[in-house]
Amino acid sequence: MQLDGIITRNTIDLQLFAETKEEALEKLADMLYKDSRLSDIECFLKDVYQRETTGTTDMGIGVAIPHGKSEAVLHTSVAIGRLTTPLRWDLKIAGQLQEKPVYAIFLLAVSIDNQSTTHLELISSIASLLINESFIVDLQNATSKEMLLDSIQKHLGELE
Amino acid sequence: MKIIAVTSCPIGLAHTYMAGAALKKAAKKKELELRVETQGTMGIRDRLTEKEIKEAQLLILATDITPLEPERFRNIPTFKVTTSRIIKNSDSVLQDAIESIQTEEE
Repeated sequence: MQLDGIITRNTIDLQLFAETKEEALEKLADMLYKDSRLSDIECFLKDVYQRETTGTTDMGIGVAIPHGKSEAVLHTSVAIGRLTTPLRWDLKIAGQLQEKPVYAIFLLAVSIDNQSTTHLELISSIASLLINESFIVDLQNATSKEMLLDSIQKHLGELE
Repeated sequence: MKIIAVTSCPIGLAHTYMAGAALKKAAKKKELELRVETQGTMGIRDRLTEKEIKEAQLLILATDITPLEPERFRNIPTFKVTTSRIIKNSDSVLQDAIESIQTEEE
């Protein structure tokens, strides 16, 4: 399975500094915008927040996967941010105080116009990687974007 | 024991597939036969066959939105759960699901 430009060096930040969920989302969306993957940051974030209102995207495993299908997405993409300091994504989940902070964010941006099955399959496979312990170790320890990209490729290959 | 599962979530991008993968992983660990059908943005994937449904002793229904074609699953002991609980702790969900039908049998 090829990444097909969905994740590149330009969509990864291994030293994301953000004190709040809002700040993190804005910085990740900005990264996608600068790489010509979004036509409008505000419009995209509106769709992402719309999804957030239907339930938390904090997976309870230290990783949040906010996502939006949006007209503002030019190319289906995944922005990955590893936080310099973990943060609380939502204060409460299903009425319970959320204990485990989030150390990484996978922001999924899906185009409405061009919903190629290949891209949707890639997105779902990338989400599935997060329940793989060996990938999580690499996500936590990667010292370069290349290392993380290699690990994503490797683990996607194992899914096939 | 033959187990089938159906997963879905509001946008059908992340939770559906993560929960599916987590269940498969947990079943593999316990050496159980488990088949997952995902109902996500790509529609029904890995559709459960009539035979699989007929032979199943347990259905794990992790559908955060209304499941598609639920009439297929009448008369199967069903354990309902959210996708997020599975993602967080698939091992204990699988254990609870199995115990839920064993209690009924007693």
